[in-house]
Amino acid sequence: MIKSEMIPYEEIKKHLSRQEPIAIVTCNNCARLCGVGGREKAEALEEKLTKDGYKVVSISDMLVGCNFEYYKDAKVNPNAASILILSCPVCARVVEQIYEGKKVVKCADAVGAFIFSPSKNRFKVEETFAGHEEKKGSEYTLLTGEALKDRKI
Amino acid sequence: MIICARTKSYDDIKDWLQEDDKIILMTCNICVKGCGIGGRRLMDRLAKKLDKNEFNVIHSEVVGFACNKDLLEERRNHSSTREIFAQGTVIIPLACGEGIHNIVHTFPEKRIFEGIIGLGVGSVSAKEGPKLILPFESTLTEKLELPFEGIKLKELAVKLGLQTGGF
Repeated sequence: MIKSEMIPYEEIKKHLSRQEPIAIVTCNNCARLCGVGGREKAEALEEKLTKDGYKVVSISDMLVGCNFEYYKDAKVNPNAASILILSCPVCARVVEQIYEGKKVVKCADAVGAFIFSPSKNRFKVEETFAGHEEKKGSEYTLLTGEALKDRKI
Repeated sequence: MIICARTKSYDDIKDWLQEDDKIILMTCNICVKGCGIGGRRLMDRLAKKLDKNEFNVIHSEVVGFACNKDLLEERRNHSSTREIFAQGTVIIPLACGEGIHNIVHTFPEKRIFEGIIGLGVGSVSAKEGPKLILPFESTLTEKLELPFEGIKLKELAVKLGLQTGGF
């Protein structure tokens, strides 16, 4: 499983225009578990964007965002000019290849790989990408990504 | 998906095993399956090979996600699997690096064969199979001249001197 962390909302907005229709693609696998993706997070982002005057025209919640096959019935609104990726950067690369010509905006950066325990409601980063080495061994709450001070896994 | 490759061969497993080992095979059913290294079919094939070479495989187990610690602890403690897991002296996991770490933590008293590594994150498609896009090791991006759409696992393995497919 891959831990991603959200890019600040203000940074994401810099890539968007209030005049263009926006689609959101989100992943229900790693990204949902680590608190970045999933239907609820996509709807929360849609609500925030709508309040700020942006026009969200579709939300596609993928079972797995890094698998090309699942996009066959993704129902991304064809009128969307920009696609926001509420998932890891690999999902963004996949979407860029499938929806050529659309602006793809990644909303999260990849931190590392994690193991998890639903009974303890937490996950632990076991492997990191460059620049995130200090997070190795850190634990977080499942589905929210809230950093925890103690170690239980 | 974590993109995995083998660092060891079937002969390495044979060399590592001891004659009286009671072997448990365990496979994850997600990333390693997508990478063509694990899953039920390849685990069963490995069991047959070991059996032919007169090693003692006492149990084979599919775990949905080897990175889910609860699923491993359930195998260790559940009444239907507790006894067989207590008997095993070694575990041969077909899992990514994180899955193998998890197995090592959950079964600290057993010897665990570590023959698979996770190289980073990538995509998968029916047409091109698994591809590495974002390596854990940052120097790989330059070393592999990693294209935007990623590099096919087979090509990657050749470049890094690793192996693909089942044991």
